[in-house]
Amino acid sequence: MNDLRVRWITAALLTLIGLYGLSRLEFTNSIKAFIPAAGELGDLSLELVDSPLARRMAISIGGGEQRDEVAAALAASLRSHPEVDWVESGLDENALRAIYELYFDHRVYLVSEQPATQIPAMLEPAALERRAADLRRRLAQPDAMLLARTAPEDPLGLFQNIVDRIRQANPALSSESGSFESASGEHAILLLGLRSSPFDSERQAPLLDYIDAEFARLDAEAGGGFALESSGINRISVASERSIRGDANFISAVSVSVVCALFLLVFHSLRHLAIAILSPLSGFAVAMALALSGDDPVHGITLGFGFVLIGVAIDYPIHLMNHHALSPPGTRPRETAAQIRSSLLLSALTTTLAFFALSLSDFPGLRAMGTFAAIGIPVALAIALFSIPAFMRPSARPTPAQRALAGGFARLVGWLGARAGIAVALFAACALIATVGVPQLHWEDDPSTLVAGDPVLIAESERVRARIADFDTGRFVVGLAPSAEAALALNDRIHERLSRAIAAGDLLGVSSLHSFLWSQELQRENLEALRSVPDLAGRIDRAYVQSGFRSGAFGKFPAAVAAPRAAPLRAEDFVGTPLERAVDSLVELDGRWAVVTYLRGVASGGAIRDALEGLEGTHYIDQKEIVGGVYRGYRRSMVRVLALGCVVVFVVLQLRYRDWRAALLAFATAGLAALATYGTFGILGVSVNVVSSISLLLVLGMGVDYGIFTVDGARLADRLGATLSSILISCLTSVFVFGTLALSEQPALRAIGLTTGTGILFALALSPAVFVLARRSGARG
Amino acid sequence: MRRARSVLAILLPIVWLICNVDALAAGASEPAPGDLEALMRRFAESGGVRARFRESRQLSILTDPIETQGMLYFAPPDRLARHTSWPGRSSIVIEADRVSISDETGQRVFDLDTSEVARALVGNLMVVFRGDLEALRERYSISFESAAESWTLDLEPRSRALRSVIERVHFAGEGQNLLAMETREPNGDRTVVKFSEIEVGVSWQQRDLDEIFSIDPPDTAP
Repeated sequence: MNDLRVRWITAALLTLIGLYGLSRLEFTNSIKAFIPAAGELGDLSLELVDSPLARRMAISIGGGEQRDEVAAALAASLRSHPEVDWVESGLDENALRAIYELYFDHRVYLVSEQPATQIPAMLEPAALERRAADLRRRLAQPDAMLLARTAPEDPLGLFQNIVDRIRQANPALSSESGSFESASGEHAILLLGLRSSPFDSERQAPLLDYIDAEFARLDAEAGGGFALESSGINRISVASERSIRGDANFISAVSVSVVCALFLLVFHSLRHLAIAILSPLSGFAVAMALALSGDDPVHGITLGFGFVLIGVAIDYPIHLMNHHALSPPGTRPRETAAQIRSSLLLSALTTTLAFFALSLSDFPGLRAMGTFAAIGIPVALAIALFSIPAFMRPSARPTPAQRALAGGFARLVGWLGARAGIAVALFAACALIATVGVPQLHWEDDPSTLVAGDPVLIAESERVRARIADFDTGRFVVGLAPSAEAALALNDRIHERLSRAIAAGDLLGVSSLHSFLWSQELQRENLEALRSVPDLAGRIDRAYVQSGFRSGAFGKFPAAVAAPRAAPLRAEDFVGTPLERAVDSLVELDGRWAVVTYLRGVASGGAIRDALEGLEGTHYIDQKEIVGGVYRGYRRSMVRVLALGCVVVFVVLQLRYRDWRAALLAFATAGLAALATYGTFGILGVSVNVVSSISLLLVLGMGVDYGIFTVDGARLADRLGATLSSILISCLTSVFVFGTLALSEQPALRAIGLTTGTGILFALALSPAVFVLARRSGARG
Repeated sequence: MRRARSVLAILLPIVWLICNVDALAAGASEPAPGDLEALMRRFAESGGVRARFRESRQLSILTDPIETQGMLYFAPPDRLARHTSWPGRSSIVIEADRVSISDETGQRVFDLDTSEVARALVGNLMVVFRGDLEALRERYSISFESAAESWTLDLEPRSRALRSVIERVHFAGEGQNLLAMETREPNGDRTVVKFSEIEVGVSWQQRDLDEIFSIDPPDTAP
């Protein structure tokens, strides 16, 4: 097959595969897809990450006296936005009427959380006389008109108790003014629900821009001077993504420029760069197409890290092109490819096996990345061996830079060969760094440290949360039960236990469905307790007459107890009412029902667990603890993967060379470079995390490639310069592509850059020493 | 609902008072306004008002009425205050659309925008203050009668929302004097307010205004 045909076939295949991938491109950013099965608690936590409970946002508007009007106008505007599910800005007259209609006829079911003891006590003559005197006093208040209307049917003030309970559920959102406002009264508050995940930046970014634009318009219309602040996971998520993208754009520009300069310097041509990129790009395209051929979307992190891992494959065309340029005149590209084929095959095989080890991880994220990379590397190699020679010019001649590099390395190795002690000292120095530094290594298992949040944004979010006394969305109690009613019954008991924890000072407050809805069982107990009081009508009459009430004035109340106008309150009754959001915390999860209670001011997780001791189906969830545990698991899994990868690679090298010294030397570049990298981090106090560990796999992959080429090159004297200069070019390319990520402000990107940059430089430094030792070992052999 | 009704209960006497400041100030020997238009013209010329009130609220569930006494203030164009001094202390202050209430149970603030009923009432107050009879007729069925020195004015809400709270408001006077204002509710409850020691055309210093129209009322009238 001639080169022209190969070029066309390659281009056509890649185009088809690329188009197929693009046509099916669907990826997710959900954290759920990236966290392993972490037991019931982890599953629950993950389910709740994407539940409506997490899809919320709070907006605070401060400034002039018209802030309520500005907030109301913004609320009206937001209600028509497709990404906004609901908006609450206050309780108007209709809302108050709806609450009255929802609860008044149910008041006989919602008297007391301890009906068996509290209701008889409430209806003792002395207690009733106190209530009568209190009612008489309240009727003299200036706004007692509604009380006067409801008192004949509700002499015990049961409806008012329910309203007070609802208000206490969110004390900072004083709705006395009709509009929600902060505790200080200086800010109007809007609460809104999102239709999409707060992590879905593609949908959240336009919404946030819309809010800003609408507010700017309303602010200008109202004369200016208003200030909007907000809090929500979506803001942090979008800002982080924008920051990462900004960083990535800047770093890409830097790295592309430097790599172009490198290729211009070494090859005097950017065509070589285009050809070199073809190899990893093809591996990525095929891996992506295969990943997208399934039913599930690919995770964004898998794509990102997969691309980075397959980036290792850029070494193959660089070796090919550099060796070809330094080959004797008249050597055809395919002949050069044939000469280094065995080295390339071994490199690709070891790298693929190392990544395949990653795919054996029990963590889905690592598994997906490993599979992705293990598919991409052989494809990249196939392109390097089969297609790239067809794109290369047959009569390449070395540039002055290539000649200088090759000659320089030859002299260096010659000099080093005469001083083997220095080569050994290099190994010893790396081993010493590893020995001293690795035990001092600090592992960072807090995933939140992987993303640098904007401190201004975080401070703003905290201010808004403080204004509405928001609850900690990362700490909550979940009651799980087979039915909604059983979940509500469990929630009654959870609330009772947590109330005790509040009294004991272990907790500042809770946001519970219990403030709005009790189980039917408890509601019926209330009604039965009222009915069991002998001569209810007579008791009330006798007590209230003493405070100046007419005899028989409250006859409607005993009648309502005897024959309530409504059945016990149910979750379905809230649909379409202003309190509809309150029942969001009752959710169906995989056939079971969960009821969530959010906590504020948790003194210690242990105290909450103690408070809930013995309540079957109840779980205290601290998402930070759970996710931290998951990341610790990722770290342990990565260490196992690295160890397994090293063993597999070493076995393959031994099988290939059938000489443990050659295998060891080929492996030493990678192993020592990786260990020395972590040793350096330990000595310098640089924390490492799961991202560093994945990047270390990259170092291993590249390091093994360098080792194989070095050991193979040592066996052929005429390859010395070509081999080492190829390694230098590969190394510099990798440092400029991956190492520049160390410039990023984002900890995750910085970790990739620092680890790969440091590791590759160690590998480069060790290569001449390996070459010298391999040659001496070969001579002895 | 509760707020709307409470505002209504407070505002209606105030509306009446403001509308009748000149009549209240005038001597008993003055003849009653011959027609509603004449009465409304007097309303439009109202200034600052200070009056003592005595309220009797007769509730169907109580054997005896609830009696309260205190001071009522109006400062044009949109500030009203009612400070009760007996038997307990409480205050209601209305400034534009914002209503503040203070009593022994605490302090509350709400916006009239949230209540159709309350909003209509304040709107009516402004309509009456301007002497805008046409706008008043849009909201109420008005019945005005006068004979010699006595006159009566009856307002019946047109809207269903208002009617669910207030059945009828009845004003009675002689000449330019207001004798009583009675508010009847659909459940039979009624409230009678009597005014005395009325001063009209009152002007206050800013410091006095700040004191009067706060929910921490002055101990004595300034």
